Amino acid sequence: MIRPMNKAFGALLALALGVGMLVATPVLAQSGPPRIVIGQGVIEPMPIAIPTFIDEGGAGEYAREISRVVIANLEGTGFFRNIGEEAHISRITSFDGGVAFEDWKAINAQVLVTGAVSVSGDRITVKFRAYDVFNGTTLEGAALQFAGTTQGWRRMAHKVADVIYSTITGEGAYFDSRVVFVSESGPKNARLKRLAVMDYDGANVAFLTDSNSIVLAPRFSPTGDRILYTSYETGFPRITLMDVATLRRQTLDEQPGTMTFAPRFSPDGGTVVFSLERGGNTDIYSLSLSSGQLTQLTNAPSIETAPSYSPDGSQIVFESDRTGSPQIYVMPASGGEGSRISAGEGRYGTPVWSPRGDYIAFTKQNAGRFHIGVMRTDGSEERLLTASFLDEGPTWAPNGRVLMFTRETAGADGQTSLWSVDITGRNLKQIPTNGPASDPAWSPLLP
Amino acid sequence: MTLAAKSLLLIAVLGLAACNNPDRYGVGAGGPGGVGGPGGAGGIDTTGLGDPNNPTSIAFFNQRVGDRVLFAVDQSTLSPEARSVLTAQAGWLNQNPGYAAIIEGHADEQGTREYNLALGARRAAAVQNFLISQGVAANRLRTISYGKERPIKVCSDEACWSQNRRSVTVLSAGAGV
Amino acid sequence: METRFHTGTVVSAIGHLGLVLWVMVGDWLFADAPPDEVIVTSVSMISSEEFAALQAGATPTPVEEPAPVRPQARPEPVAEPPPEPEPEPLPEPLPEPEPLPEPEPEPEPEPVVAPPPSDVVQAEEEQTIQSESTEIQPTPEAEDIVAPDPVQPETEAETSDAPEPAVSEDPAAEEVIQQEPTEATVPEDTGDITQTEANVEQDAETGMTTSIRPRTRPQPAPETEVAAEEPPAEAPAESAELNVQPVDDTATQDAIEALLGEAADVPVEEASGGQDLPQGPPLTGGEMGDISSAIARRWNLGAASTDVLSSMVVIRVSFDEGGRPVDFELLESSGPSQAAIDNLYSIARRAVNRTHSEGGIPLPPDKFDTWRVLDFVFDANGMRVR
Repeated sequence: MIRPMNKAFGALLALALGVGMLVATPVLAQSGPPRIVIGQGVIEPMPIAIPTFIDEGGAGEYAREISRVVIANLEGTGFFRNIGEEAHISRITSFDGGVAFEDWKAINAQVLVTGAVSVSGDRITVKFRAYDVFNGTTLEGAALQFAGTTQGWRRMAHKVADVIYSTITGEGAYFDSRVVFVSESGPKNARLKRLAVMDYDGANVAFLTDSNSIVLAPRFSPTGDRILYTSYETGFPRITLMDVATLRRQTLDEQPGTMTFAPRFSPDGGTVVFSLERGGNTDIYSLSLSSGQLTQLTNAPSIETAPSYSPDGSQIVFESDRTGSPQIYVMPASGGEGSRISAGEGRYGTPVWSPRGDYIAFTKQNAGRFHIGVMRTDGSEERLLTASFLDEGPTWAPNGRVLMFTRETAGADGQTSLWSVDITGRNLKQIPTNGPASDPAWSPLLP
Repeated sequence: MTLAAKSLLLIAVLGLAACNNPDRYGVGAGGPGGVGGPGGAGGIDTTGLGDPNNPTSIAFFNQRVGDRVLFAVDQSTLSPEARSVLTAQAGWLNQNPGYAAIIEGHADEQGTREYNLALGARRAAAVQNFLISQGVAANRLRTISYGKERPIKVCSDEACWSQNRRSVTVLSAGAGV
Repeated sequence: METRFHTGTVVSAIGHLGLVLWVMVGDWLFADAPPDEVIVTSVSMISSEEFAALQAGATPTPVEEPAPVRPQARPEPVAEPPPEPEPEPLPEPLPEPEPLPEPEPEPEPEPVVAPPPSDVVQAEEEQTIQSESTEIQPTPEAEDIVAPDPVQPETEAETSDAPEPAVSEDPAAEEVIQQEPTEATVPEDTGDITQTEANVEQDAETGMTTSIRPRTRPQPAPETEVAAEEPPAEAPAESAELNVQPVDDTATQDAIEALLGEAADVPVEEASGGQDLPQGPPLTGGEMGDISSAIARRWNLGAASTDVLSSMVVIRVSFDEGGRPVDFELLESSGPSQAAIDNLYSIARRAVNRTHSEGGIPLPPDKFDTWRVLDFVFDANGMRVR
């Protein structure tokens, strides 16, 4: 009978020690290095240095122009600030020579890009290297060489800038892309409109139609080789498919007594989803380009329009005024009722699904103002990025980070122009176009 | 009606003479004075519209009967004024069976482009349905929407916007389009 | 008859009572048994390593503790390349990036030979070296080498004192040790786990200065990835938890003394050998605020991806006497992707480095022991981006 007693004592001792540990532990648990919370950081462009690319033979103006385009692309994002050559301490004289990093640190450049261009006949070679100046190392993946014909020099500059941009920021590339839009002229009550394409930054404009009939709201195919748009060429609004290379076009689905408009491609490029109006009612239909089969996706006495596929092709976001004012709905790509995702006050329209699948951009009207905004695909986290008399029709850059849209000014002399804005709302700026422009649609990143 | 609007209307009607292309705003599309139109090439021939005092002329229809009705913001319902105008239109059309009509629907600029196309179509259809209910033969009527693409007033306030929210019944010679 | 029954009842009652007591008490005692065995084995492991470390020259180290000669004391313990303190950042990174640029220009022309239909050659991308972090790769390794060394003398000092008491205190030390591994694991890890090749490889792979330390804490995915890459290092980590004991034994002793009525702050001072226990006077709120705002001004998210703007990292920075950051370690992190966390980690390191090089971090000179190691929280979530 003694054993239980000893064990009891041992238990009591353990209990006492446990208590003691409980006392001691909080004291010891409070130990650890001081923890300092770094609060609000800053949003400033990263200072970079991009000396003019070196001419390694026959490059002439190409080296200068390519450097300019690279700098303009990077600065145009609002993320970077190029330190001009007049402030550089040392010069890059040879592409494979050493770099005196102290000189670049001294001017506070965080990234240095060196490059070289050589031309032989119609062949051009562009190579570059981006360095982390503080550590004196080459940025991972940012030492490449491109080659091609001189005609494509500008695309090479876009590709160089794309690699630098995505390496540093971690975002996807988007500079090497095109935008199809409507070029406008004439007075507000008699606008002349024609389809045009350009580089995303406004260069290299080419016209796809003449001004003889109204054209509206074009969209690129997923591979960038075809365009869908609405045209009055037949006298009525009709969805039209055009091959970009040949400019050959055909009207799709001509049914008498109907109007069709707002056409978009499915992510696999094989289906066209659009609005069809009959007897005053507008619903969303899909048309298979291969079989010609027409499927009705919505069936409601309200207006259903402005459809947009999710990047995986499984869902369609669209605009409907079934509750009395235009709002945003999501339905399966096979059609259906759709569930509403827009929640705030005002009218919502022109929804477009981000290529990253994470956001839906839209146009919102409220209290006499128009806004471009984004929301999560379930309608949460709605954020308005712009506000003006009339902003509408956003289109996503291939990396899902930048939006381009139409802005129109008020009054009899009101004119349209193209603007872009970062998804954070920063860096709102106009895209330079020769004259008024509207209805932009971004191509995918060019291969 | 302003001179600009009258001129525009005249040119448009001339253009409409080629009734297989109802897009009277298309430059050169079946153009004014084009295929079989009552007007000469590039000229404004008032004989096409006729004398407004002649109750069987298009000019009479446009000016005395009233070729357009207006709508409230976002609405396609017909106001009492609209109904009386449309009743008169239907009466005229019933008495003058030699004409067909394109009913245009328009919207003001306070909306997105594609939604406004649909809204204009809804307005045109409302007019068409009313005319049919008043006895006009359906095969004489067609609808088209211009959304916000063809305002007749260009200022950016309600005075202009209310004029732009309209449906216009555009006549053309020929019993069917 | 009645008396016999009565006695039997009493005996039965006592027996039952004893059984109940034994059951109640037995829980405590049973619960203690497994740690008993484990403790014994770990102590022996510690001892062997300790003795090796002691033989490396632990005797003078207690003297060196307060002396700010740490950087020079490095060669004594098991440092690998004895780094020349000052020129560290330059010589060490150089050997590594040099191979990078050199191979790149040479293979480049090869893919050029086969230009695709589009005017752009893309094969070059294959040349690049796989790594998650693109910046500051070599520097952290230099810093890693630096980091454990200052700690070692201290822990060795502790363990040199502790081995005997550790053994004797085992039964009593059990509970204390179980409760404290997360706290005192830190110094012990660095003390026991020197910069092995495994660690070097790991850092080279991830580009992060993630030593074993963080794995003992509850960590999100990134840390478990690191853990997965280093299974051999896990074993020492496990034992490291229990290796805590020698230090904690000292603390345990103090805890017991505390129970016996001594001041409760004794354990703190006694256990000050641990790296993460501030030794000097605490930083005031104003001083911490100054440090925070100085670094915040250089914490630039202007070129950060949206993923980075949804990420958070907590980094541990070790400073030398001059206030220069000499070691970085990623303690905690969260974010939508490993790439975003890596990016934010490098942005955070750059912020600290830039603050030092652009005028210095406002570290009060008289509190070096306190700010010798600091933890910084960089939470980009919800940061105003306009």
